[in-house]
Amino acid sequence: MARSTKQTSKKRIDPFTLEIVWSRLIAICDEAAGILQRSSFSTIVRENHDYACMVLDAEGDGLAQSGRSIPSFIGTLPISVKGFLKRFPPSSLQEGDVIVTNDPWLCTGHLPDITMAVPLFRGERLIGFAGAIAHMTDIGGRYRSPDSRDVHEEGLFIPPVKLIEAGKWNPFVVELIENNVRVPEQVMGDVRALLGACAQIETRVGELLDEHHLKDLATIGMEVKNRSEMAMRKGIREIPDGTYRAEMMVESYEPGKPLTLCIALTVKGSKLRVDYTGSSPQTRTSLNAVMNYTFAYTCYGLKCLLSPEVPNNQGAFRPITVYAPPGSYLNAQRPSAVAARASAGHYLPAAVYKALASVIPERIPGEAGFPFSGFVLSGADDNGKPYSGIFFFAGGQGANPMSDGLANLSFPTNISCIPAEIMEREFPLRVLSQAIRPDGGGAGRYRGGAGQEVSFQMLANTPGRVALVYRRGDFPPEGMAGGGPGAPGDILLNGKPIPSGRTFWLNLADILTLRLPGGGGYGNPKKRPKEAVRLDLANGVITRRTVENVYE
Amino acid sequence: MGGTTAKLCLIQNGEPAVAREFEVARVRRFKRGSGFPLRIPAIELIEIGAGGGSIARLDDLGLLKVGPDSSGANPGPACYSQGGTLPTVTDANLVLGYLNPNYFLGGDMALDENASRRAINEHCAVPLKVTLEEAAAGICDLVSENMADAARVHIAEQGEDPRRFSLMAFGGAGPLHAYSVAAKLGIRELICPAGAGVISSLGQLTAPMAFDLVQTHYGLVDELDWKRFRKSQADLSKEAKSYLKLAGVPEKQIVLAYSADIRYVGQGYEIRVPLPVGALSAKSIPAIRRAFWREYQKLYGRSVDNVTLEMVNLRLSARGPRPSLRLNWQHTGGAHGEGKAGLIGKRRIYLREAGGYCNADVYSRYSLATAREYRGPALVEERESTTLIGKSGKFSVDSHGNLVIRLKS
Repeated sequence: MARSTKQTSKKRIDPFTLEIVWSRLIAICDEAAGILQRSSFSTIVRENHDYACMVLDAEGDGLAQSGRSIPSFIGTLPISVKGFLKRFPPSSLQEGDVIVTNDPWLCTGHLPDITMAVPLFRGERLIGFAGAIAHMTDIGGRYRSPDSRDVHEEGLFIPPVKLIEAGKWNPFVVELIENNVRVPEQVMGDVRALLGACAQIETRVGELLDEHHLKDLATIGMEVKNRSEMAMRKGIREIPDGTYRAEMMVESYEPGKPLTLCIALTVKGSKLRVDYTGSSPQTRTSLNAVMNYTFAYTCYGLKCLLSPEVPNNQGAFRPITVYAPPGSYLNAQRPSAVAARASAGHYLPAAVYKALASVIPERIPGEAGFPFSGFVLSGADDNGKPYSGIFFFAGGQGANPMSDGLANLSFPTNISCIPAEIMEREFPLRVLSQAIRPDGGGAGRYRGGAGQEVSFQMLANTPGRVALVYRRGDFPPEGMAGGGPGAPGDILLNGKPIPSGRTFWLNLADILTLRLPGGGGYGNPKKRPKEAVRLDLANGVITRRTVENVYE
Repeated sequence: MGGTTAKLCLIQNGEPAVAREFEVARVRRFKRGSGFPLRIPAIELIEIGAGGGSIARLDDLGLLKVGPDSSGANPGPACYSQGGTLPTVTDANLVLGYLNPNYFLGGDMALDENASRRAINEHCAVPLKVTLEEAAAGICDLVSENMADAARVHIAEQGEDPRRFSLMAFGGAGPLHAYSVAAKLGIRELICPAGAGVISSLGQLTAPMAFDLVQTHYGLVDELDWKRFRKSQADLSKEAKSYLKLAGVPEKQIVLAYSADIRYVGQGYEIRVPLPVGALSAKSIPAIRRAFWREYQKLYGRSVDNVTLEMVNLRLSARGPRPSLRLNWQHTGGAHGEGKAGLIGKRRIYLREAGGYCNADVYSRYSLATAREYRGPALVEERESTTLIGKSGKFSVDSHGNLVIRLKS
């Protein structure tokens, strides 16, 4: 395979053509994402944007991605395609092949995400891949249960397989999927939507190469990766050499048994290594991350900080190595349960920032109110029709050294919250209230963004099963440089608090209330301009008590 | 394309597409998703930060970027001599010979070509180690590519192929870049209406009085209560007619067109499907289904025929007659020569497609002969704009005063 890409001329591409082709590749991914989103059958793709589309080169390196992508997918998709290439070497691939899998250890870290790759050909030669990932509404099993003991309880496990071979569907794979998920029309509908996205990438990349008389993506890919790598190295060099450590406490799904997250970040010239040695062992619940996922979120945190303007591609990650001891909850081994890996992974950018806070405090924001609250509700409505959906609500953004944090902004992931209208239309629920929590954000020279409070009531006679609610109540988001912490999260069932991770039933007329954590503040609150405090009070963002106790 | 932004709208069968959602107050300039979504019908168009004032700069990777930052009208491009020192698209157009420094705004505003050269050299050509002309041509090419990229995504989102369309270009900077944008999109016909700088105001005068109404009408298409449906249609029509009558449109001139937002059960994005004319009933279902499939196929390249259809909204577009205006263009070009059939001279211009400098014919827009075919490379100058026609373009003037340019396919 490596040979195939090296046949091309090494002639330097002029900077104008490079810029044009590069931005076109990104536009192609956006176009594909539009197709995926608009033809999808699930709210998670349509409303929450839980997907990514990508162009990869023949080596499986990502070159461009859609603007609205899940950050972790950017890191995992290339790893997945490299894995596909091991199983299906280039000589075994042909035009019209479509590979799919949801192997958590090869892909995104949990079963509901289906990763698809379509090999791209120029004549006989493999020149790259169109890749797309989307989170399925259901994947069978004890879908998204916090207390699953291993991955086999968590649903259908599809090893890398050719769903379509040379244009011919593999009916067995389709039937296998259809017979193992609760909403087969939705799941297969979304698989077809992924296919539509990949097909669009295929067509457009072909047109692009024709237009610019390019034989393949190799020359462009090399330039894109090299330039991005240089930008990342420049960002790393701005941090003084040394090893920087931090520790965080992570609320687990076993009350009273928090996890420890240890990070040691070593900068040496233009290289950076992150080591999570000392972090807790893998849990007996589903709160575990696979190495791909840990790598992806660590890199994402670093990318935002060190090279934010450069479009994402593989080159930026070359100078970075990430290690987590096998068997720790950040490098969970087969066959551990992994459904709640987001609640583990979303802490990682914050861990990176905490480690670097001692050396570049002027660039580090307050902690965000992560992880998002992403839970599953399933049951049947009064007509007996089954439903199953994932709901997302976001906490607040941390204040940064230049501005306040925004309310209800999901960081580090890119998920959009589900609108009340959609909840009520698709599920037997009535949304009673949805509001920005007063005093939700941490106080500071710059104030953290508040999380939201949402309250809804069950309308169906059949009880609905709620799984995987995360609380973040014990260790609220910390402020930076003297800023206060964000408000802790809370889950209330009919007004009574319940812990993280418990699966419970929502009976007719039950009211579930979620309070999402707020972002941490930045800087001394006493230095916040009077006018900003007055406006916050007038807008109901903070209360009078906070003004008197914290700001005056 | 104006001074700071470029907008593009797809018009089919004389009708612009209508969007159901409109995003306002974007905080990251023009970046989709950074503003507030409003669920209101609006003309479906895209807006990107590409205009004559868009600033060219090198980014962290040493690559040339154009826009979305703009020098606006003040300080404006370096050549305006109003204090701007950063290179803009207009500066590039001047350096390449596309703009006439003595006939900008009909000669009312002198342009300083040396200031443009200095700005482009210092900020682009020298750091990129290329010649002044290469840098300027790169700026023009990139700004056109930005527009073409955005257009390509936008047109694809509506399930269309740009090559099937003509490009109508206006705004002060539009006619200068349209040829290049059309070439990138594979568009073969370019139309530059007269009065490029004021065409939006003209549009307001010539558009028919119209109201678009929407009413939720939710249910499976197979199980709709058609009596209730016809009642909804009647209610909408009554409401729309009352508005149009208030606006002075006689009832018998009102034209009604119903459509419905329909999707497969389970999907969240509806497709606007034109409804058959006349009283609708269960007998209309096959026709509605066929109309849906046709639209779906167009958008997504495939359709699934065994999935139930669901209607979400009923829509009515009610409009009055188009005002019958006859435009009469007078010569307002100021001191512009009147050569033979409009030819007023020749100018050396730099064209990438010609591999360097070449001679272009310069025409006055106001004295071009109708019923005659002209050839590129050429520049057509008018008071508020200049049209650039590339090497292999041919153009003529139609009876409405439009410049019609044909590109080689």
